[in-house]
Amino acid sequence: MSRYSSIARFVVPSTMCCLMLLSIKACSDNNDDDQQDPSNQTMDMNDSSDMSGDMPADDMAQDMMADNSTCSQGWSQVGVQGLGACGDDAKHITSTLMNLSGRTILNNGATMTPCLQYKCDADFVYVVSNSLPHYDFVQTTPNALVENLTITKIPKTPKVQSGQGTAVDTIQGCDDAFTGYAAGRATPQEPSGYCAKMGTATIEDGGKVYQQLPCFNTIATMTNGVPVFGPNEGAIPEPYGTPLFVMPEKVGQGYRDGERSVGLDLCGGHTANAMHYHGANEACFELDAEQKPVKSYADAAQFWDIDKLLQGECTEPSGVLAWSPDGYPIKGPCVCMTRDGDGQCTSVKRARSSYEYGGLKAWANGRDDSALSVELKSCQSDSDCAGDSYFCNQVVVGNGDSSSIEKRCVLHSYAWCVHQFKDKSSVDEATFVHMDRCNGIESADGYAYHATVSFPHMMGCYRGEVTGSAQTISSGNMMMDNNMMGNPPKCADIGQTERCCGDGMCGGPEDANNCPEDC
Amino acid sequence: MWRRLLGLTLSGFVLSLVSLQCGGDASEEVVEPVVASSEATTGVSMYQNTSIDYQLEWDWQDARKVEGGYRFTNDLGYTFTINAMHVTTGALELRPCVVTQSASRWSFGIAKAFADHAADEDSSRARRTISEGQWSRVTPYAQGLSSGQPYCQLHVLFAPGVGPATDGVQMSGLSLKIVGSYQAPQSTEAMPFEASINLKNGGNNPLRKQCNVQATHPTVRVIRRPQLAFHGIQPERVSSHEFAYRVALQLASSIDAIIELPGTVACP
Repeated sequence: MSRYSSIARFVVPSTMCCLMLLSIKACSDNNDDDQQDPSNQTMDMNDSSDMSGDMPADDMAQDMMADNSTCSQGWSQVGVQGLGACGDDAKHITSTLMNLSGRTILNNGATMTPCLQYKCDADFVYVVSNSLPHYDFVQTTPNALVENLTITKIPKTPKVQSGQGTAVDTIQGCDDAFTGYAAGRATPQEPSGYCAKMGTATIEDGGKVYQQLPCFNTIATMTNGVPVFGPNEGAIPEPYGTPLFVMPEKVGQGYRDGERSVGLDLCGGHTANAMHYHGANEACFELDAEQKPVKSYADAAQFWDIDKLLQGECTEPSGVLAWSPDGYPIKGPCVCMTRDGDGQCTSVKRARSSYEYGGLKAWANGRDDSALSVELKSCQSDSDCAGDSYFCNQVVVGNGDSSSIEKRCVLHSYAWCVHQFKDKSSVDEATFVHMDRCNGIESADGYAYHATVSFPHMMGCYRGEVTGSAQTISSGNMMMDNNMMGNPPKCADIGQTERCCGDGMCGGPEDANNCPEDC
Repeated sequence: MWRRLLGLTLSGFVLSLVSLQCGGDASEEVVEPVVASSEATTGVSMYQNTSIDYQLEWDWQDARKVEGGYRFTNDLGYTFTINAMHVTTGALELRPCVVTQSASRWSFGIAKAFADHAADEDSSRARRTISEGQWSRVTPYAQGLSSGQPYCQLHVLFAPGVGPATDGVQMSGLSLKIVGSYQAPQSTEAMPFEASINLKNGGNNPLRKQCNVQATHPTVRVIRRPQLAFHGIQPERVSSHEFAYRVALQLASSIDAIIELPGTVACP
């Protein structure tokens, strides 16, 4: 019997109401967006030459021709006038975006066409995508792959956060998670306080200010145009759990949850209502000189080996995998620490997250933690960790001033609570380098976030001011702009049954004022 | 357990709403002890908790039986001779008709109440990791239970194996393994290959029904059609992994899924 049956009791009645509204909409109004103005297709065609600085003009033109609706229609939704060619001042971004021209993928035997286009104004690069991966869809769950039009706005020049924020030591939301777990119930929303449930929130730690990631939905955008989500899952099956805990240790091994269908593909993505990534296998995003993917999914997936991803030797610096809306890149796990006068990288180290697995029991504060007795126990396999909420995973644990990688019984729930940030920026290690709170570092190539297979996988917070955005403009998931959060959408209006007002869950941007039915 | 209850409750509720709003009829009179209704538009329905058998089969259709294997030519003119082909099935599940996921970005349907990033499992889901080869004509798989709602599709999941296949071939860690040779168009040389893939993948397939007067309860026949899985493949242009993976992908989504229902009453 699950300890989270309370969630079901909480969700079912509200969701039923939502579904009733949805059913009415489905029968009367299932093609609203077909009527959108397609006039921007010609604009895209004209723009093909504009983008030639970063992509071969003929390739881009081909892309535009092949993509005669999806991304082209997106431009009419941007709502910004005067977009045009991207110049050299944006090349550090545009030269990393995937060239999807001529590419089709298989989805259950059907052919789909991923698209990605970009334009610029003085301050931003705008990327439109239909959120399809660049590789054949890996249907590991019954959730279908659907197109989901997204717009990402990336500032050309990042600015470091300033101002004030909530002192990180005062954030105690994980107390609730501990209390609830001990009592056999889940919290009704993400409890930690380390991610933003609504709007923007800043925290202060060691004299530095960071902006929190949103607890749900888009935090950044992969170079293939697909959204990146944060390092926690939703309320169920295991509340707000760590996405990568269910992954196989190596390619060819089974998923840890016995095919319960919350796993990611071996590039780090999966579908809910739409495709998104929680982590990244950099082999999947390696680009050739034409910015086309080098490896197929089948070949890139062969690089999935958690032990090597955690502590394998780095021989060359990683490329860019994604872009954050604060203008900083998210790179792979190998960091160039120094370069010589010729620009050659002379020292490469593996990025290591500074979030240690301390467990939910770290929040016991003297209370009875017998419900968590298995947690943190050394293990060799899942069978050493009794209970279906635990897996035997390699995690980062504290080791004096530094850290080590060890196999421990870890709780699948409450990703932000079971991992605790410990600043190790002053610790010098030969082969790896500790990341900051946001999972980034100022290296020989400037500041960047680095993807780590351990929590927080991609980013832990925003180091820069989030002047950009990532936004979904049509059906599918609610992927809200952090700066344009506004009121949460009504479930009945957007055709989804969760992450919206009316889903019976008070979370994300919802509060008692803008969504009283949930809060 | 509560996930299953939640899924069943929501799915059933959605179904009834679809029917009410769209003029369908999901509350047709039960005419037979096992089969509740089977209208083409509403899929195949069975009473809740009806036991469903799954069995794995192979169909080589137009392939020629040759010594030591099967031979066929794909749509690009490549002739393949398959000497051995093994696949590992990880899970099978019937998919309710109410899932209206669409490839169209503009289409709003009634989305099933997916539980965050996980889909609600249907009670028809059967899990068993079993590897078998093309010579095993019929292999019993496992059982699931009907959720009581109409089904329209079969989801097939291939997953890495955990040991040898039913005929002893080592499939540990492999979801598909093929051994044979191919001959490119205009070529006279047969190129041998041995390709395998260690990745999970799956596909949804339309479900059609047949009546079987001798059956005692519903049986889903999962008929793999290997020659359809080689369409569009030029082996010399892809890696061994990619070759096997594309075969697995197409194999999972080209399945002839037949549910055999007992009796004849509900079968038109």
